[in-house]
Amino acid sequence: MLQLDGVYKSFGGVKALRGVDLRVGTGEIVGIVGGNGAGKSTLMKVAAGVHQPDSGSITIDGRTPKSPADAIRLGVSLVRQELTQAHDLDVGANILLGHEPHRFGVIDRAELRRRAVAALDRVGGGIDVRTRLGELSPGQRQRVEIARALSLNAKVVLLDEPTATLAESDATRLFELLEQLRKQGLGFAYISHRLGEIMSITDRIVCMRDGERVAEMRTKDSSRDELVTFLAGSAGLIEAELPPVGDEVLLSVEGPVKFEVRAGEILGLAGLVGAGRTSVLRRLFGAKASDLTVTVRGKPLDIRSPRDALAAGMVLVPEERASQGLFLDQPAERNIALPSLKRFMLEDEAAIAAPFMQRFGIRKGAVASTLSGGNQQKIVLSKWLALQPSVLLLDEPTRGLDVKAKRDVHDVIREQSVAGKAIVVSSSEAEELASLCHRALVLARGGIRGELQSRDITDANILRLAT
Amino acid sequence: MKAYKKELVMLAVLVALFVGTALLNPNFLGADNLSNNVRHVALISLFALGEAIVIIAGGIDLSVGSVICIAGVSTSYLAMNMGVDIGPAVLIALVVSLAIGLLQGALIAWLGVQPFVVTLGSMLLLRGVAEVMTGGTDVGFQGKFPGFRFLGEGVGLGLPMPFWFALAAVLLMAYLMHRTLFGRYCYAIGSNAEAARLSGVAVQWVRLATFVISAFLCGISGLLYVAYLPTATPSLGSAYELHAVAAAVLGGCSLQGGRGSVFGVVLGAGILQLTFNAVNLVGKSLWQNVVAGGVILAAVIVDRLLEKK
Repeated sequence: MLQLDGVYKSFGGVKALRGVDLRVGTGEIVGIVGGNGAGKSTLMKVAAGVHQPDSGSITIDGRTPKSPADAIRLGVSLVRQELTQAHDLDVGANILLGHEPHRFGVIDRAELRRRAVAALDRVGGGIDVRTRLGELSPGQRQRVEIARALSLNAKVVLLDEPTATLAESDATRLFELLEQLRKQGLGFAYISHRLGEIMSITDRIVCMRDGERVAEMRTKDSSRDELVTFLAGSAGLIEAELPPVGDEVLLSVEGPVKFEVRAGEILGLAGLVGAGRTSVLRRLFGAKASDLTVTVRGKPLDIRSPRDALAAGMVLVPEERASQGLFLDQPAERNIALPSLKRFMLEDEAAIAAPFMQRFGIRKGAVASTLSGGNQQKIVLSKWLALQPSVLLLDEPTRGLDVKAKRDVHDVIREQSVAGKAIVVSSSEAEELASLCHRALVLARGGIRGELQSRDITDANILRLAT
Repeated sequence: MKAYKKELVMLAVLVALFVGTALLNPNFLGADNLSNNVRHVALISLFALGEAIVIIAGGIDLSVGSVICIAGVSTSYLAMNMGVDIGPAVLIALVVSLAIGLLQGALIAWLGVQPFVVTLGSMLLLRGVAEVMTGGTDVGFQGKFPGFRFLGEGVGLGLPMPFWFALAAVLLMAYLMHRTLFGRYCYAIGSNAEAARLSGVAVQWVRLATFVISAFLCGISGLLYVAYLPTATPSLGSAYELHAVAAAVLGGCSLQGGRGSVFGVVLGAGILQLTFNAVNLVGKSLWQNVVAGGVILAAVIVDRLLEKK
């Protein structure tokens, strides 16, 4: 059993955790919810021995882990985010990375394979241990990570946003797996922004805000609305009136996928992960080789690079904030101003960024990497808003954001719609598309499978069209 | 001031080195020695600047020493062995340097070959060309072309001529890197090349330009080296690419790209040269590389420790 008592942890001047208690016993799933910067991930890292607390205690069956290796030995495993896996190694090597069976440093390959296969069997099998990890889907990679935890004899497994990058079917499969492992006596700490899944799979819920545990409740005694109140202080997504759609077709796409977007229209792209939503947006924007014929404001374009798209007034908020959208080691102002700079002599970056910094309450000179996910996404949005584009493409614009940041992003999108821009939003959350879009196209295997009007955008309808 | 913390630390190190060496050996403050130091700091700064720009944009240039050599050797070879006048010889050497930069940059930017590999290849290849061209022997100016030699060994306004070249290059590059769009793009690409591309930066052209600038500055310093020596040997500039990387890193550049300043590189060049000079003055010249290596390691260790705090 994992037990944290009165844990404090600061980074520089930022107090990430202020006296947090947490218990995860065997055979239970404890949900941990809270906004960005609430301290959830830090809590997981402290529990896994990655960070040492400033004060307070962590014990695993009565003993204190001093390092990640210690925590693993004592039975606590953190399921790492995708980025920390070795994509070029095969599945077996990933499962036993750092714990390879060996004799005098020579790896015992037969034993490694045997253990990897045994661990994979426990998570449902169907994955060959010799496959290169990079060739697997996100859902499969995650099961490999869980298999890794099992092979290390974990008693408590910590999951940080495990469904953020998963398709619906993979997520369902994950839930089934967790339930099955729970019955075998494993304990889980489960961080997620998706309240629906928290409500359906956990036994207990811990709510965090600003580094503190503000509430703890048994799942069956609580409601979703109650959770939302704890997290944001008010209700969830707004059921706003959709802004009116104009007559002018701003964006028209021909080719393997065909659609039109009018001024003021918000078009959703729905579909499972791997359906081709990201690919369509990246092709439109010229970020990858394209077979689409794109017309903006009635003018046919030859888009070969993002520069061409930008010249035509089309911008893309990419799927991966950190690796595709931001210069993490640079201040917010430079991030925001960069695409607006046109003259050879540097223009005043602070002045270009100021209206957005002010609006979103971002501290002057703040380096992008030090900001929360929500503020980072607002920087990415700002850098494009500063260009006053006529077509906005947004790929998973609220992924990993908390309720409040999500609402802010939605406000920006609606505002742009009112201002008469054409907007295409891709999201894996039906609920988000339903509250935001006039209509949505359902994609599967790279093609359009159907179209849903705003109120018909539901998981069930998307799934029906996509499969 | 926070942004220049690294540079301030390095400035302190430079001053400490200066005072320390002067105390150890009063000859350090002799006019000849000081002027010699200025000349070498200038020459190192020239080629280290180019390296720094490449590094800031996320690349690395290992061909520095060999381009210096090719520029120097071809000038003296053309002038002394082929009977070309010194003016055209200098021009040809510079054009050759530019062409090398263009080729390397094109391979890196458009073919997507890693900078380390491309410039490692040309480092070996160009050194070999210099050896073949000279037959492995020195090509001296034998007292000819005093005007050209003045650029390397002469003194203008009380300072060695290379100082004025370096000053011009430093001012120009500081302006380019810190006040223009090109400079901003270099930092952006070094920080996150994919984000830069998706922000509409012409990543390939900027990359190309960094390698052209580096090769051009190497060409200039190659010319100044032969003018100063005044003879071209096929081993001219050996290991200078490493001095260039050292000066850039000492000056605050990160090999991951996106960090560093032009002013810092000059400090780095100063620290490197003073270290060499100090070791020589205390009569332990064999220890040059040991001490220089130690200084570099000490600098990065201190930097990491300061960063962690």
